[in-house]
Amino acid sequence: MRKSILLLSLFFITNSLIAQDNPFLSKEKSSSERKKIEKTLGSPRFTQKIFSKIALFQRSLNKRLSELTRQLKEKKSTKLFFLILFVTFVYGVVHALGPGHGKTLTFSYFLSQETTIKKGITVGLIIGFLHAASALTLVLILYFTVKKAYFNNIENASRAIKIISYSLITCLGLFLLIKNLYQIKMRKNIEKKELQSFNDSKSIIPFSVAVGLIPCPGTTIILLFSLSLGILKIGIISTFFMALGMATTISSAGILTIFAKDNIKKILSKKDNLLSLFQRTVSVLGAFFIFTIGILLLLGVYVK
Amino acid sequence: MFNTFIITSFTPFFLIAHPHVFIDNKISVIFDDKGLAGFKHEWTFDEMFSSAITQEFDLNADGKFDNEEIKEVVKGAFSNLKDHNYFTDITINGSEFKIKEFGDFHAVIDSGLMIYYFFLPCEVPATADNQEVKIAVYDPTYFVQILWASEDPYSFRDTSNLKLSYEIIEDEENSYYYGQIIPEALKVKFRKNP
Repeated sequence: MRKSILLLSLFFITNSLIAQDNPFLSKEKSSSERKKIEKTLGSPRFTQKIFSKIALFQRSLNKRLSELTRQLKEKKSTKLFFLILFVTFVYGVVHALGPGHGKTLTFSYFLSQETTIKKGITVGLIIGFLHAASALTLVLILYFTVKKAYFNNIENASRAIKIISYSLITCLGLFLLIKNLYQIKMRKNIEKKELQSFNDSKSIIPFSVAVGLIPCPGTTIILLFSLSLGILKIGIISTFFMALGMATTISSAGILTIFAKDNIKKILSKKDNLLSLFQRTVSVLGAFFIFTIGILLLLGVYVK
Repeated sequence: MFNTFIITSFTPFFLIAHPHVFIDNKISVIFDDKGLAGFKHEWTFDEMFSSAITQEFDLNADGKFDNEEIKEVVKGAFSNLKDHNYFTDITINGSEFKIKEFGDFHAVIDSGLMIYYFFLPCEVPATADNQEVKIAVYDPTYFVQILWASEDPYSFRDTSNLKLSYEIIEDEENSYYYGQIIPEALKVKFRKNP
């Protein structure tokens, strides 16, 4: 049990570590080092098959979106406009399924917390919208000031934002870790009623903001595309729907974590000592993951 | 039981990933009188990324890249790929080949799509025995998704004094992104025509 959560989370950790940088601008880890990691994390055959199908789907979605947007520029049409918004929403859903975008952290956060599905949705919404809003702000600032070198400027700004975001995540992880360990020390036998002691509802906003701060590269590309067509307004509205799509995915990750945890607790509820052990383990592990991910992400920025 | 439950609950979240940029790739395998000379790439970018890059580097906005602009494209959106081995993984008879340089870089804008042309030298002499060269083009960080172009994805030039065979293989050795994606590699075998 612990092992599977650990493995799963390790996967998420490594997953979120590598993929966000733009390879046209950033450095790569050595290829032998990379291949070693790939070997230890092989995937079953059928997931690879599904994956290649989904890759094609994303590609066609991207193509469709550029075609529709270009058509809209030539001919204003309400039907086309709504179709674009729908496609951007779907694009957002699929987009956020990838690495980055805070799912690993959302997963760890909800492991560490005793919380409700409603809060899972809140976290997803804040992360999704902030993630897009951050990209939008950067593009708009550049649009109204230098009007050029968008990619380079955004890459530089992203680096600074990442350092802030990752530092916040590390601090928050450390805070939750200490707090949860302290709770365990205070009560040697946690009763069912006292499970609430692992809930820190004040940490929801700082957590979501820290994770969502990083500008979303996918949103950036859509905005720059609409900018090049001279229909920035439509790009901005699309951004909103893309954010909604991403929020849907991230919220689902949160809800699934809560759901899975609740189910395990239900199974364990007959044996109080097991339930208590489970509760303590996940609350400490979750906080520990947030802390570790924060540190690894920070190292990732500096080591390159 | 818990393991299965947890794993099935979360599987959808690491099955799917998102590339930000898409490339259609064509490769010309170039031979000369000594044997293999190298590979010529033709990368067609998706419309969104194309327009974003074009906007940034087509400074006089005339819809094409002139020589000065191409220099900037190389500096700003190509030469850094050296650190990523130009997204190209080559093995010669099973051992890894390190790409040292690129040549003949050229970029054009064609109906809104940006295309990169460049040559990667990789000299392998033709001998009496078969030489086996495998080339897979992919971005291990999955920021970019590179697929074979739908029309004429690969071609061979100046093969008249060679005996040559090739196949497209699922290159499991090079599976990437945590082993979730298997690139399709081009495997070429050639030897001197007796």
